[in-house]
Amino acid sequence: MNPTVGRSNASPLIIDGLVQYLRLMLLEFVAWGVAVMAATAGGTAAAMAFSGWALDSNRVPPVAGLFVAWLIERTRSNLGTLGLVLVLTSINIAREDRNNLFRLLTWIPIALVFGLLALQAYRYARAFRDQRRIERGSPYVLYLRPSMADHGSFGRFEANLVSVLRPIGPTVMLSDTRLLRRSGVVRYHWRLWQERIADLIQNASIVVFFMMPRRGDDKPGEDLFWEEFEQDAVRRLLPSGKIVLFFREGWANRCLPCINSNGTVRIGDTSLMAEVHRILKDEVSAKWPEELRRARFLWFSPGAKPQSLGEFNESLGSRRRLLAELGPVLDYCGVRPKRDWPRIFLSASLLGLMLWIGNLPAPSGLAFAADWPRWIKFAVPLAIWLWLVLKGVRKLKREYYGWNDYDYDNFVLHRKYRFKDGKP
Amino acid sequence: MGVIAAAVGLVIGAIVVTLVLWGFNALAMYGMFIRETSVVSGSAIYRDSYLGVYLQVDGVVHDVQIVEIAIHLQQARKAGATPPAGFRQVETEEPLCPSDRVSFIPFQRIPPRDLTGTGNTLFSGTGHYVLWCGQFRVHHGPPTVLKIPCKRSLDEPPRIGIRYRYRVGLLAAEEYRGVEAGE
Repeated sequence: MNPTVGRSNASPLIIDGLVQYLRLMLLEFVAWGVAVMAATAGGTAAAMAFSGWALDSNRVPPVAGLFVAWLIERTRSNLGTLGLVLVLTSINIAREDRNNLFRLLTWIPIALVFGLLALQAYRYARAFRDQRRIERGSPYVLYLRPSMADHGSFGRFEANLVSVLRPIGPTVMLSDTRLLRRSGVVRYHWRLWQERIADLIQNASIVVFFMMPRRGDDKPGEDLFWEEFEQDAVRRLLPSGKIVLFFREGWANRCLPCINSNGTVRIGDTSLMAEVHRILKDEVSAKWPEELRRARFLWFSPGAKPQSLGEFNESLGSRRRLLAELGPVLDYCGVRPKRDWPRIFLSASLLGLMLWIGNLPAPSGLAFAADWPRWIKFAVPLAIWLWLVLKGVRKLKREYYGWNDYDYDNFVLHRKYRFKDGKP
Repeated sequence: MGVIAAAVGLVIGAIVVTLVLWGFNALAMYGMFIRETSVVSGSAIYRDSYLGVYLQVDGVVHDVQIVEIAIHLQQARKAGATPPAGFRQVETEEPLCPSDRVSFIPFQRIPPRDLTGTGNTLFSGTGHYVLWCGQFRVHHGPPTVLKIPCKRSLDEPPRIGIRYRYRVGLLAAEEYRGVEAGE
């Protein structure tokens, strides 16, 4: 009875057939090449930054292994790298060894920039590979999110969502950002997206809707709800078990009254849950959950029965909680959750590599930079440091003025979408 | 002398290791006892031929096993639910006694005073709930699925409560909770 995920014979994504496939393959290889070159350059810069710390100055210090770990998992290893740099700097100053300190400050930003480049190239390569698989008819997950989600801090949630749903297939989403996040997946230009949305929905294995009061298409007063729900394509899919709705915790019954109080959305004193019910009540005759409480997912299981996917403890952590919530959907699709032990094994191997890498000769790819004029050696790291600081300040500012993830009672719509009396 | 020194060293080492392990054990137990969230959480989902209860373990615990399942009587009848493998139905009309069934409440909304009275509790098998007893182990990792055979699925959220036991180090503990179904 389970509709085990199979190949989609009528993939809507084929544009020019073989030409498109070869183009994606070329892009993927180019991206892999850029990623390898950037990682090599970044590793070299890191090795030069820490070269004074190897027992033998001609050898790569063990700490360079941290850079490799950072490339693999940027978020976690950032903290490790930062802590290590702080410790080394402190020791350095204590030893009154100013030369090493300046070398550190010079080469670390270059290593960071190359590391970012390597990460981005890797994510683009992965996205091209996934798109190529979809072109061949592989199953995929469609993740429909409001464009305003780009401006919120949903990166970790979306990365975990994509990771948990990976056993089904790659995830397709609409995104406006150039820098791919960890959830970097197949993306389409919004015009192409608009043309193909119906086919994309029809052929997806699972469609996840990120429920928000507005789609964020900059049509004040018009797009109060998802356009897709107005389409017959979605309604026809409801009994098939493909549709999963995601409500941010507590939003189902809190968000719209809060927005109403801000004077931004005028659809009455109702809830998002009631709005979904109003639109779909003809198609879904089964009893709806009266309250979601802290549950976040609503699944239209076969027969179009809206079933809450349960309340799981936050202490499980973001990924395990998502895995527990989406367990019935994965079960329905006939796939098993991805095992964690290969990732743990890889991390342990990297730690071992960090101890062993001290035996490797230092790379000399950037050694020519030692002969550069002094002003260049001063200006380039300074510019990179400035860029990094400005980037961080901008991010902090965006966090401050943007969405507040956890404070639902004081919910304020993003200022980009805030308007009064029908005027932006 | 060398043998005696080695033996003394071994004994001291064993004592130190034991004390360290006890320390970790005590820390783990303390951490588990002060936590507010329950050890097992889950969701109940109707499928065509069974009701799937997806259970997830959290925390530094081991040997987690479900010992009792309560399902709403009317729902069980309408769905044609039968006890899952390893469980048997318990026919009881007696109210649950708080002294020997301390934690047996299906939903945590019930105030504790309901347990102290002589009257029936919501979960005492007095016509509202069906009680199944047995053993079902729940493992760490991806959710463990407890399948309750059903002849048909219903159009309303399932109302299910579970009681489970687990071990934290040297101690055993017991908890109960309703499997949240978004009702």
